[in-house]
Amino acid sequence: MWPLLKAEIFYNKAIFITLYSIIVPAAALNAILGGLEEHVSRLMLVSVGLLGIVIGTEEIKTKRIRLSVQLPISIRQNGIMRFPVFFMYWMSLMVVLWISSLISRQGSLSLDYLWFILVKTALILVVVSCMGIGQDVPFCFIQRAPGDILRVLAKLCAVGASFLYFFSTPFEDWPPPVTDALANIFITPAGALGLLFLGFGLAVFSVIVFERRRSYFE
Amino acid sequence: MEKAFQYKNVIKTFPEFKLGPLNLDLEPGTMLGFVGPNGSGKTTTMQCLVGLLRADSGEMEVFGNPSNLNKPAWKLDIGYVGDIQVFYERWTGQKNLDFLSQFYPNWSNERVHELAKRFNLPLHKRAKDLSTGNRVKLSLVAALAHSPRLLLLDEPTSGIDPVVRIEVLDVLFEILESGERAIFYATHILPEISRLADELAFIDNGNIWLRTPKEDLTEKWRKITFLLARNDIEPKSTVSHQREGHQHQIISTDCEFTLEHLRELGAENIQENHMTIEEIAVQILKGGTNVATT
Repeated sequence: MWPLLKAEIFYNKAIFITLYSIIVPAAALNAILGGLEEHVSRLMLVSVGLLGIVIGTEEIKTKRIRLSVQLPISIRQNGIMRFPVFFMYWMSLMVVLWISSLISRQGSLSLDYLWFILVKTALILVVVSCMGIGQDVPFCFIQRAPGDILRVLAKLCAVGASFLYFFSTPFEDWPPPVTDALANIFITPAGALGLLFLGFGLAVFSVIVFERRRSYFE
Repeated sequence: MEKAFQYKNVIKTFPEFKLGPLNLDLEPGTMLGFVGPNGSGKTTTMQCLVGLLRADSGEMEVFGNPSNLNKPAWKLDIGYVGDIQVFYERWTGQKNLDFLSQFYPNWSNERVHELAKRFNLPLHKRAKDLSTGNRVKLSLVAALAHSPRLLLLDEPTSGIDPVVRIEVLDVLFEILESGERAIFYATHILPEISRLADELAFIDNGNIWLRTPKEDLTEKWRKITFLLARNDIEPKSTVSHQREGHQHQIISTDCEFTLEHLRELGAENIQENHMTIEEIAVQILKGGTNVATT
């Protein structure tokens, strides 16, 4: 599986470099000015979306799934393969953000910061899993209609998780009751762990959906 | 002896097409030509065996290994050239092959360079800049470089110029000479496999109508013309019968048997003509079940 992952990273290095060149300066700004974590994390979500669009579009256009499915690796490994590329990229961004916050706050990060990072990570896992399910589920059915309905539902879930990502740490100029309510629900141990559980569950489900495909053409 | 591959009651259903139930196998050291018109199920049959399509039911094996998508050992024995050539488009041919080499313990770079030279393939060019013919050649090199025991070729010479086509067929001939490898070759262009194939299987509408040694076709099938006053005759072992007055023209699937029958009927001026593989194939695919039961 490692050669396939390595190939994906090297093949897409131009888009990775482009996105890093936007995120890293933003994180540097956070290190200097402080208090920009939420804005940087929102920029990170946009970058993951762009990464998904660029990689996904080319994969579909060139039908590269055919290549990986023909390789002597299991279909399960193929299904799992979509996560490491995004997750490694995401974790590298999180490390950058964490370091920038550590600098701006002179080494003292509260426990809330941990929940903040875990909530964002869990929501990214939900988004990536739902996009994967949306891509694969139409190929699990003989007739197109049920698959297409489930595809739309899965993609709506991905959009919903993206909204939640944006608003799980509320904007500063929102009225206090709203910001308090959102922060109390999501930026808590229960919120973080619950979302992580959901994210991992959906990731496993997306691999199962991939395994259940009737064809691997696009 | 282990079969190179086996399909056992394989069925694959699409909204407007059904393949099978398919039962097919191949001995090592032989080449099976898989003949059928466009949309007959040739590509679907191969895609089931390489795992691009999941069969609805039935079993498949490659050299005794079941084609379980989560136990991919059987894929090591397969070299596949499909209807669409898929690569990392921005990478050169060489880089694509280097990538593939990591998955196959038997991969030989020497073989890569030997084949690239024979096929006149520019490995330094990016995949997206390669012509259709060169993409097929790159796919062939990738399929052959790990010396698979089973080659699945889906119209591999489409888009290739005649000189390289002959070179490709020569390479396939060498592979067969080793005696351990098998080739399953799908095409609707018969001349290119009539030289190599030991057997031919004819498929249409998702079903195999006939599987027969190539020699049986060329030796037994004849176009026969004769004169006979009667019009109510039904000559034996024929798939086609046209008449104009006393002049009859039939296509026989068993020449000797039909000739004997015609003599018994009192036919005169009997003339038999050899048929090309293409002519026979057209008759078989036109005749469908009639041919299979003749």
